[in-house]
Amino acid sequence: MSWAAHELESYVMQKHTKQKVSYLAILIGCLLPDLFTKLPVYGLQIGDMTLIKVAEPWKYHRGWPGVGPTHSLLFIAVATLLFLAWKKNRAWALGLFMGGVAHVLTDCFDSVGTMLFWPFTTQHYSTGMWAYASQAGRYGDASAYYSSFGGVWDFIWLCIAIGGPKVFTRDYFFATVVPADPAWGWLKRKFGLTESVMLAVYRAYFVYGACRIFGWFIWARLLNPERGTQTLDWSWGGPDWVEKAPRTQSADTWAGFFAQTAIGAVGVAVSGWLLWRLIGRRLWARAT
Amino acid sequence: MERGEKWGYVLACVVLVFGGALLRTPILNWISGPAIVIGSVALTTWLSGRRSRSNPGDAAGSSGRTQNTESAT
Repeated sequence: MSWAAHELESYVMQKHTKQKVSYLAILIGCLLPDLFTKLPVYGLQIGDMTLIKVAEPWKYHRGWPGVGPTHSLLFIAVATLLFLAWKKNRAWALGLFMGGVAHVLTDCFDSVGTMLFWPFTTQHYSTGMWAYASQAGRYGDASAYYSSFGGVWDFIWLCIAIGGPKVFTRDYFFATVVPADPAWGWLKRKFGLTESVMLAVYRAYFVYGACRIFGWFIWARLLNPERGTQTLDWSWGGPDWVEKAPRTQSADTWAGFFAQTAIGAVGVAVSGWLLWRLIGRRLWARAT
Repeated sequence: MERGEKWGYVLACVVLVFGGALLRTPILNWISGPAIVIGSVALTTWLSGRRSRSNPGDAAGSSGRTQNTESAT
C-alpha cells in the first residue's frame, strides 16, 4: 500500500484535467478503496489489546474472498454510477472515478498488488517494488515502508506534486477549483469559512501528505527502537527483513497469466461498455 | 499569502513532522493530520486579524513597523 501517494496524487490529477472536475471528489476517490475497509488490516488498538484484526491482512485487504474487490476497476465504475444516480453531478462523478482508478493503479506497485480485473479474474497485478507489510502491524508496516522503495515512491509523488506549483496558488483555487464544485460554496455558507480557511481546506491533504513522509521517515530511521535490525533496504521488493506476504498470483505460468489477463481485460471492457450504454449515458445526460 | 496564513502552514508543518515523528498515529492519520493544517491556519489568521485590529498600524507587516517608528519619532 502507499502511505502518502494517495493524498498527493489528487493534486496531480487536478492539475492535468482539462474537464470541469471536483477536487473534493478526486480526493474522496483517492481514499475510497480503503475508506471503510482499512480498520481490520491493523486492528483497533486499545491499551495492550488489538481488536478486530484479521489473521491474514493481505488476503482480506486485497484478495477474494475479502474486500479486495474495492481495489478493482469495475468497483470504481459501479461506485461512480451509483454516485451519479444519487447526486447527478458530472464534476463529482468524474472526480470520484479518476481518484478511485488512481488509487487502484498506485497500489499495483507493492508486492501484493490489486485485482484490477475482478470479478473476471482474481489475478493480482503487482510490480513488487516494495514489500506489502501490514501483517507486521501499523508500526512494523511504517518501518518497512519507509525503509524501502515505498518511501522513495512517496517522495517521487511529492516531487511530481511540487512540480506543478500553480495548483496550490490562491488564484488557481478561486478561479478553477471553487467554480467547478458547488460544495465549496456550501462549506463557506454552512461553516462561515474565511477565504484563508477555505484555501487551507484545499491545501490540507497536500501539507499532511508531504509532512507525513518526513514524520514517518524520521520515526522509522531515527526513533524506531528496532532500527538496528530494521535497516534501510533500497532493493527491489525490499526490505528483506520483513515477513513477506505469500505469493498472491493465481496463474503459475506466463501463459496462464496472459490468458487470465485477456479474460479479465475483455470482461471489464465489455461490462464497462454495457454499463455506460445502458445506464451511464442516461445518468450523464440527466446530470449537470 | 498574508503573514498570519504563512505562519499557520509553518506551525502545521512543525506539528506534523516533529509531533508526528514522536506521537505517530494520533497525529499522522487522515483525519487529524489535515485537521491540524486547517486548525493552524484558522488560528494564526484569527490571531493576526485580532492583532491588526488592536494595532491598526501593524496591519501590513513590515510597512506597519515603519509607520510605528515614524509615529514614535
